[in-house]
Amino acid sequence: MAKKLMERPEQVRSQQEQRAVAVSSSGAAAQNTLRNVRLIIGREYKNRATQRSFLITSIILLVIVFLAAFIPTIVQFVQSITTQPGSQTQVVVVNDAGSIAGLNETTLASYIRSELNGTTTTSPAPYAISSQPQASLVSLQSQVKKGKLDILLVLDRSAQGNLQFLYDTNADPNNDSNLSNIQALAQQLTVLDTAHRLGLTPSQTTRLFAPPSLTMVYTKPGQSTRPVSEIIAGFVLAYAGALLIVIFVSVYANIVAAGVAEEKSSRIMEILVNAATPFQLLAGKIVGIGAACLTQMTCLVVVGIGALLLQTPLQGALFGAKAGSFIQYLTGASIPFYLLFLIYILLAFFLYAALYAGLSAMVKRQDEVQNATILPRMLVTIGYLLFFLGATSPNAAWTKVLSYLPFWTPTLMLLRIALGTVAWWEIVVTIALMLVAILACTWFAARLYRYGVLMYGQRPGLGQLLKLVRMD
Amino acid sequence: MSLIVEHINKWFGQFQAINDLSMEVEEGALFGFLGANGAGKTTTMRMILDLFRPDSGQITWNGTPVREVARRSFGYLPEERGLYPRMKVAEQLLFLARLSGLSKQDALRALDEWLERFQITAYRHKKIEELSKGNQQKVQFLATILHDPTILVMDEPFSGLDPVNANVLKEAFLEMHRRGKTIIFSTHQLEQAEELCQDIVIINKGQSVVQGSVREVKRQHGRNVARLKLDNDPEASWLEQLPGVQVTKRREDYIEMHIQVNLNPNVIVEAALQHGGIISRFEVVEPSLTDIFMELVGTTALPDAPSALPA
Repeated sequence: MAKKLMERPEQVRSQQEQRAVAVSSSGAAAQNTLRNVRLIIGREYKNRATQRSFLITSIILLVIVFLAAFIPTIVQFVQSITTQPGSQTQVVVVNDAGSIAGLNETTLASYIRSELNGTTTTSPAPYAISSQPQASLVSLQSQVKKGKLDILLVLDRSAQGNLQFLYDTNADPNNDSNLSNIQALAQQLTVLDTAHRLGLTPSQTTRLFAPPSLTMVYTKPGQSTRPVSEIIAGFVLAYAGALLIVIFVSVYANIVAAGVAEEKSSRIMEILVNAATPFQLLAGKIVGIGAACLTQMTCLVVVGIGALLLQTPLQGALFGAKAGSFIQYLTGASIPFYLLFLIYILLAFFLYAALYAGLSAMVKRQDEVQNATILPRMLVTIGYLLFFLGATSPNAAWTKVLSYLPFWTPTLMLLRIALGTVAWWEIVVTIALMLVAILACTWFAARLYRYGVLMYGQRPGLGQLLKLVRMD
Repeated sequence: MSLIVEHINKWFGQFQAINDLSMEVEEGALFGFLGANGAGKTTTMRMILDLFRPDSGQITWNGTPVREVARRSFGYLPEERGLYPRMKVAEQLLFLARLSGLSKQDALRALDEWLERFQITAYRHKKIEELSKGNQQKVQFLATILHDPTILVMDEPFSGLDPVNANVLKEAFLEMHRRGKTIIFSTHQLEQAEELCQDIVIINKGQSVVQGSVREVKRQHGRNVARLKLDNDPEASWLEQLPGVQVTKRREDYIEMHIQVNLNPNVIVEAALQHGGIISRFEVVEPSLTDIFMELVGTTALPDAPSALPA
């Protein structure tokens, strides 16, 4: 009997609190908005920045970033040690075709040598040519099979007298870097030979080979004639920027969400909500945690850039002076690019953080946060994918249109600025759109927050959610 | 000057949590808010604090609707204790006090005073999670009062405390009362309500069952109660035959019985002596709130019982 009378408090409470209740957002607490928000920002920043796990993660990341910057140098160093000097591709030529355009054994060999090696000045030359008589053909072929010989080239003539080539190698057909060179060589020799058999003199043959005079005039408006290297540098920077944005948003907006859920599970909300309005709490949390995360990321970026800059003198010391590659990247892009990058990353953070926070306010425990925030995470991922899809056509119509959608503006705009052409007013418009979206999302999140904050029971479905948001 | 709750109603979807509730808390009073679990105490408290609004009716403090009263005037001790576990005591209390509108200096001064009063100055820089439960309760209590609010709303302030800590809190409680604060608190320990409160209200299923000063409530609803202990006759079964007497409780330390209003309690003593009993205890007791509570609320508080109270 006694057991029946004792109601379990948990059960009754969760029944009560399952019904959605909105914390009033107007009223006396709203008067101190600025002051309260400042206080809350301060608390959130301090709380996050002094948290042991945050500090440890920061240090670990710093070390990783620092070491990672050294990787290219290390790789190069290892390569330079293990690559044997004088590794060449050995080519043996067996000539059964007799005289080819007046070239015979030695002159043929030197012709082939200069064709294959081209204008490279590295020593030793990539290809070494030697001639062998027809009699050694069988042993040469077995040498190729055993891997002792890189390339065997056999020249002979068909019944009609045309040149024929047999290219024998033990390289992987999928990964044969010599094939194109050999093909070009075969092409050259055939044309030479045919010209000779047709009766052309050497000077006439030279005229046959002369490259056409082709002038290119691009009439598409706004096309700046950029050198390829600059485009590549731009892409690398834009990619680095987009990657940073995606990482920053995914990781740190998630931290905001976790912070919100943590507060709920400690029930501090009950008191907080008496002293501050849900909006103040939300804003304070986003800005406070955002500031802590920004601090962490700034440290990482500074250390990363510093370490990368270190590479140039380091590489100079190890391998002898080379063109400083990284500084080029940095100074290649102009200040406005960096400024825009900073603006976009901040806007992206606030936009997604608001969504994450609002959705996270609806959950009961911290492990449910991942489930609740599926939607914004998908949006972030899509933004990342769009970056790559758009990389090949930064000025396409669809890239432009999608870059106006606030969720994908940061990554796509970075791409367009670096690789395509963007008018200044487009930048202004996209920033304005993002600001509007941030306000909308924060309003939406604040409404969710009002309900979620005191809700410890079930999560309402999407339909109910929208209804709740519109209630007062 | 008082806090007046007028005819408030609150629905959560189909469920009516508060049904036409009215009560008045005078300024400076110690007001006990009694009721079973799920009766609507927490909901009413939250509406007093303007955490959310009633669907109809209004709550005013000195004539001003509570939504316009400055946040600083209220102090709330929630039923579920809640503090940032990893924040240090002093930091947290300062944060909460300043959030409620106190300046930094005032907050520090009040903090020093109260930490000393509760004798937990040594814990100033400790994290909340490192404190024992009793000390956490003290900190929670401080979070409620540090900003010197006029109205204290406390949901079961003494629950879960050992007698020593409960006493410390009780002293602070009474200090607040001495300073003229208006205190509304809910509790399940009805003896404590009897001890501390001037006025009480008992609510059940969102409705007010009984209201008024403790004395009035006892007088109107209580019955005379007598307690008897006989050394040589623990059962005292002859009590059952006594007219106008109804045995209600048999405990190790006494037998409790209800006496009809017009019956002279001496009758029991005489009967005991007649049966040759050695009386080690006999007292006529004022009706206890617990009994009144059980009688009024009793089985109707259970979920399966009909939600409307008998007229």
